[in-house]
Amino acid sequence: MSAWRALLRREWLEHRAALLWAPLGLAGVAIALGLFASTFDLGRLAVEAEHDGDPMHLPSVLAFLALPFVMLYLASATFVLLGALYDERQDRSVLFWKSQPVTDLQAVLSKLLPVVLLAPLVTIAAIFVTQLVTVVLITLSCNCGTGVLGNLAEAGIIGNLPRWIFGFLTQALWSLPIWSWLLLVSAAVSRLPVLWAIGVPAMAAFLEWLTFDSTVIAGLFETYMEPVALVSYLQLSVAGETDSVTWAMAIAPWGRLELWLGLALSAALLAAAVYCRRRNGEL
Amino acid sequence: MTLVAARGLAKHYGRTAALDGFDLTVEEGAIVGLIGPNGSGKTTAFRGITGLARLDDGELSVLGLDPYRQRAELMRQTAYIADVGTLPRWMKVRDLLQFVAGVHPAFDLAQAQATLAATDVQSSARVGALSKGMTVQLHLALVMATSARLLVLDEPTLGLDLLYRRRFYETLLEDYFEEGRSILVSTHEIGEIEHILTDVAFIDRGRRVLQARVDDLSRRFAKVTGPEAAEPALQALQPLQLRRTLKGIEALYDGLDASLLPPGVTQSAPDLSELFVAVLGGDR
Repeated sequence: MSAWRALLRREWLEHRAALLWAPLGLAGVAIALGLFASTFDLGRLAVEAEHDGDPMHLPSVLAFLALPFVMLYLASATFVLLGALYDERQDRSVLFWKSQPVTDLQAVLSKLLPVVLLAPLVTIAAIFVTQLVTVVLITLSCNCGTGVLGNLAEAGIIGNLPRWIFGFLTQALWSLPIWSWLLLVSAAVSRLPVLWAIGVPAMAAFLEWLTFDSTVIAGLFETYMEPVALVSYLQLSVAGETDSVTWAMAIAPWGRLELWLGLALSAALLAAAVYCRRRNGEL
Repeated sequence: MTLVAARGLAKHYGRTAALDGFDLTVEEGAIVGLIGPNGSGKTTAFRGITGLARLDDGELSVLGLDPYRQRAELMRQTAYIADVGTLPRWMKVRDLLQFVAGVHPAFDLAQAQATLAATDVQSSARVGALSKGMTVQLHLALVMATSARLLVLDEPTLGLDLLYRRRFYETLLEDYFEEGRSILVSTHEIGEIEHILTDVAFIDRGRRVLQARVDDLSRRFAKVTGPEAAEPALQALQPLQLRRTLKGIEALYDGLDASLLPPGVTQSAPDLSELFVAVLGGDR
């Protein structure tokens, strides 16, 4: 077994509750709620709604269904990353991890990659299954629309899947500075990581505004917390704009300078996290 | 070949000096005991030697590497567990073994499993659920299955009862130690490792106050006992330590010329703990 495989497996074992069971549990709850709703014939409303921006039409309902999963992922990712290089110092296991032939760079990346690149795929899978089951349940209970396959095509969940995945991964890279910042805080502070993660930028932004009357720091956070790649789904779920889910929207962030600046910024933040990790383990 | 060459190591925590010009040498094939009182700098020295702590000053080479900058490379050839309390408590024993097998090229998974099979440690148990004794058995299994050139053990038997302590060192000597391997072990319980050491180093207040081969100790150091009347004569020979006992006077010497001894005294070799007290206790 290669070192990387062992490292990723380790993360998986430690965080499977947050990164796997939580989204799957949510899927179960969502499907149960869908069943409940379909008894009130809400499904028929969704399937038969006109495609004129009616927020109750099927694709909108399904996109809306995805929102709790996205929020759950954001919360899980935040707490897993904030604890990643912090908890190991609290329970002193950092001394054990560092007694193994694993570089600090490997350690930091092994914390980042599962959360930023693998966990989104689990979330997408949970969303996909939920949407799929919901469409089938709705169709069977209302016996409306164009049958199961027809309604699935209508809802676009299979057709949209590649864009969904691409969008989620694009978003992961777009927000990488935020994730990297959380990891740096987790490696650097000796207590209250949540407070530091929020407090330092808030304080810095406030002082910057007070001193220079500028908002560079606040702007950075605002930029990289922007749901650039998920925005089409937000529009779909809120306004019912089906046309917004296009490849053009999904690819758009890659043409923006901020994405590439963000990656450079992330590299710097991660380098700082590696530096802190190397120092961790002293008495 | 010299595996550990440390000269003038210094490490400060705030204004406290944990290491203050510390020297140490570990040759290939040696079992070196680093012995010192609590707070003398043993753990800091080990953290420095294994690359876990950055030192403020000094020259340090371990297996030809700079431990702090090349920690991962060093750990490929080293077996080191800071202390048993650091094993990840949330992990199952089985997963822990698999993790080490994945990242450590010198770790033999089958051997570790075989070692554990002979103990009470269940591979499905969480590390945090193991008793102290079982945790040490797990620790031992991890260490024994790692065919490293250098084994570093920092107070490996701390908090254990006598039976486990004895078994630990017996296993270490019988199953682990072979040609080409070296062990660096620290403790403040001298008696229990005295018989396995080839070399001994005393550390006090961040400094090495003595390093010698155990075989040379009896030639270099002498314990002299005699009646109380011999005290002035024994004192004149500048002992490391001189004390009154129930039987009379006992003095410890470094490099004694036996021909100068007064009549009526007997000379013998001091054991390690007597030496330790004499060398370290002199100015206290």
